[in-house]
Amino acid sequence: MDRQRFEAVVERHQRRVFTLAWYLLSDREDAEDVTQEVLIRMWRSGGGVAPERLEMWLLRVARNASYDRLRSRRSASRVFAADAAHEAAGTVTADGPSPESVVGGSEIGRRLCAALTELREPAKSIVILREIQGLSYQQISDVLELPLSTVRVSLHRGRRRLRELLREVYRHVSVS
Amino acid sequence: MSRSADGANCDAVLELLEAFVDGELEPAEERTVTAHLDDCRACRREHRLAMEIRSRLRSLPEHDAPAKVLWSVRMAAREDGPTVPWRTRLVQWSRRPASAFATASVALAMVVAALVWWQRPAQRPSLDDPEIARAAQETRFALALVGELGRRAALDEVLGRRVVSATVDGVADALRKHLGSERSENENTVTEGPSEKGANG
Repeated sequence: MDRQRFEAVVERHQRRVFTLAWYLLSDREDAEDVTQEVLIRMWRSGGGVAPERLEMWLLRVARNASYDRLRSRRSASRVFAADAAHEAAGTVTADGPSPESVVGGSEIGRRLCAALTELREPAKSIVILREIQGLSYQQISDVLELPLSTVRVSLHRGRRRLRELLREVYRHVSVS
Repeated sequence: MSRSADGANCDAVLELLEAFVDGELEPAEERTVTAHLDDCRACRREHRLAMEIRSRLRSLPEHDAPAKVLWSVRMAAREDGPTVPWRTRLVQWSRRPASAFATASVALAMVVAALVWWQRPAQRPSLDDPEIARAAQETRFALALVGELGRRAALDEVLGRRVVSATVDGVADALRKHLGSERSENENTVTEGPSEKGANG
């Protein structure tokens, strides 16, 4: 891959990679590190990925790198006996700005982002890829290397869990 | 578990709700859910909530990576150069004048170090040295003494301590005699030297 093509690919896909990492990690600085790591890895792969599969490859690498970072954060929080309540819930707090902090004044948006961090894998990745990033079931199946049926079931399970978490927030929703 | 007038079970409908929201149900299932929602206020509220959450999720923004991240990615790619096999990189490196100079300097330093090591004076001890010959003889004698004492200690187990103590005294006398005779031989050698010279002269 020559440098010109690499820069075009970076320009085209950086948003997808950064968004996935940020919603998965809930931490801007970690998401920046993951984005940089993923794009440099693409450069070093030397154009070994077919262009039509590049986006799915980037998202897969970004998701795996984010997951590795979550794991190391989780083990670090164990070492320092950090937030035990979050640990029990399977989530770990981060220091940097999170997506909900920049959603822009919407309380419901912030609560929604916070609820998103409560989801377990693979539902969390699937909800982000499907609802925020607009991928099809087939594309999600390619990224996560999961059967289509698992993608569908996990998406519904994730959204149902969000409904449970947000029921109080949405008490005002009127029913016609 | 509740059942509405249409006969559908609320739990069964809620189970299908996400697929219903996504329009993924078979037509017959879809008709059942629609009829149930018309009839059941609680399920209708859940349906509205599911729609609202899906809509909110879809309105969450995607974010561009910060410019500093993209800049550092481009810099890393520039420093890396094009992705080429390591053998090609090695050949390219060896062709640079600075690399050739560094390689030649290291090789020269290694040759000089090898020559210096090879030319160093031999320092192996020689048995011709009278001091070393005497030390070797005394060591042999001491080893013989220790061996003898061991043998006598075994006898002591059988016959009593008298044998060993007597033997130790005997061996010590023998050592004293040996060293005394050796010293007098040396003295004779020293005194005989000039007389021989004198006789010859």
